[in-house]
Amino acid sequence: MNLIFERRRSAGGRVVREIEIADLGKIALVRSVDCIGAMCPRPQLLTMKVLGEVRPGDVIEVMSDNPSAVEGFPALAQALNCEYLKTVRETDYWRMYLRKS
Amino acid sequence: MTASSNFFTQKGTLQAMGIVLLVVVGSLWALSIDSRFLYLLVYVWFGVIYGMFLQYGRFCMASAVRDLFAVKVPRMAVGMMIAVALYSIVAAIVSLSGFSTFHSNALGWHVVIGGAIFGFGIVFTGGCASGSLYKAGEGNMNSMLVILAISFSQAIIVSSSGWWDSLVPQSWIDSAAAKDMPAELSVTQGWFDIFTAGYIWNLKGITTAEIFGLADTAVGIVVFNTFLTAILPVAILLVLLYIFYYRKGHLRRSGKAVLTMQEEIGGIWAMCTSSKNTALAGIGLGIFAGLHMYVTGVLREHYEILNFGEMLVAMGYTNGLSLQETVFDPGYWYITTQEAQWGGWVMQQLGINTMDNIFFGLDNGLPNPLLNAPGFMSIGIILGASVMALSRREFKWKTPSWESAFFAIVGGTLMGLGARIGMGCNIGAFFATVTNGDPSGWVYLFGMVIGAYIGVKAFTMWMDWSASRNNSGCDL
Repeated sequence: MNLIFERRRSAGGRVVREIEIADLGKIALVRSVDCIGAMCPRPQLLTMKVLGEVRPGDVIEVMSDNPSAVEGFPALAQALNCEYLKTVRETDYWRMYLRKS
Repeated sequence: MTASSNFFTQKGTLQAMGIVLLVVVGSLWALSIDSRFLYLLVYVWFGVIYGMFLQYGRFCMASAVRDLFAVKVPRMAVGMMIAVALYSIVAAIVSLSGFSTFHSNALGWHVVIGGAIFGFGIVFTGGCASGSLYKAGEGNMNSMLVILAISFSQAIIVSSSGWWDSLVPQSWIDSAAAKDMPAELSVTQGWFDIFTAGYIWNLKGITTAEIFGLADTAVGIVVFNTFLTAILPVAILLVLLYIFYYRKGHLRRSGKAVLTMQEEIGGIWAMCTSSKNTALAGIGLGIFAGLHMYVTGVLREHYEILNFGEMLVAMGYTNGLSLQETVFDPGYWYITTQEAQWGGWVMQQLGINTMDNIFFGLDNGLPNPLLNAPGFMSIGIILGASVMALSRREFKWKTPSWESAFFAIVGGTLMGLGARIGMGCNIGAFFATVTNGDPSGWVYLFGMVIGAYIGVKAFTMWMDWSASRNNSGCDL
């Protein structure tokens, strides 16, 4: 998957990964939530929790292999008042990017 | 990336075609044994169609009620309402043509209690009864455990008796005893028998048209059953979903403080089409669920039967029929009863008498799974979902963690209990009822909403507790 180039750095005590996503350019990633293998509603609830912990403007990544959870993420982003950036398809899971407003 | 994904795409497509071929060859084989198996195959084919649509729309009806509380997202609630509207319109046409196979459910407190237990269970299993079938078709072994739990819990619930029988009100026992049932059913033993004969049978299932004395009339079907029982409640619920879950975001995105009527309607439209896959699946499921009733209704007329049991007798298969020589044969989309029969059949093979009760012994029978027509609809859903998931590269074998396996078994057992008390799942007791003019389905949905609300609270508490204990869960 050559859509993403990753680089790690530390900024203000927070681990930030800089990634490049096709169509979106470079984005600093604050948190990554690994929900691979999790059943609903765990991915949604964890995403809510993490979004509650990060600062406005921060971008988080959610990884899930649950098709119905992935389908609902754009709607989830709307409900949580954050910007749904993109879903990137990996071989057997998805990476989703959300920016807190 | 391209080489490997092409390889996987090709492999997935080939496997999907393999499953289609299996269904075709299996169907031809059954027809070559006896052409009357066409009646059973209709269940298989509609099951495959349901499975394909469910997977295509990632149509999770559990999330329809759960996500309203868990994350305040109305996507699936909207999808389900679209499916209800479409199903009710097709059901009206089927009823007008005289081929409806629908029977109303008895209305009482059990509907709301059963719905609540079922709604609580689905929060922990990650899917409803149909959802578990299609997710099993995506390779999710957690969902396969849920199906097993639903099957065996129901079979045990309807056939067992013990000290808990004494918890049932004496009036139900007296009423059951007065029903003059065959002795081999022992209706005064086993709480589910007492519940059925002493409580359910004293209640009435009635459609809205029947309430107004307009059953089987065009006005009754179109105005009372379709418009008043399905379309109007759907419209009201869509407006409520919009006001409580969507409007605020819509206002924010439009950048205005006040919206005109046209913009409000535009907002409702945007809510309905926010997930195109889900909306399309809702339309497809609604139409095919209605058509299913029509096809089965026409075949019943053609073969001059009211129940598949009569056909099984004519074909020489008399094992596992009920005392009335019937088997479970709803003639429309239904899930939980046939799964109870799988569990019951296995128990019967293990030497446990599971036919001495009303549910199997008098009503639904315990046919061999190879002759269980609605059972094949459930298998069809798994196969159809596999075809769709494989061709979209979404098939993946997933093994559950110990925690989710535990939830699958406990949640699945609660779903089985709720489905038996409430006389069905979100398909049989809600989707198929409200679309055919039986308002009891809305009561079941109300129960499900209460159960899901409590379930979400309990699940969130569990997640917080387990996160504080081992700081893991879904690793952050």
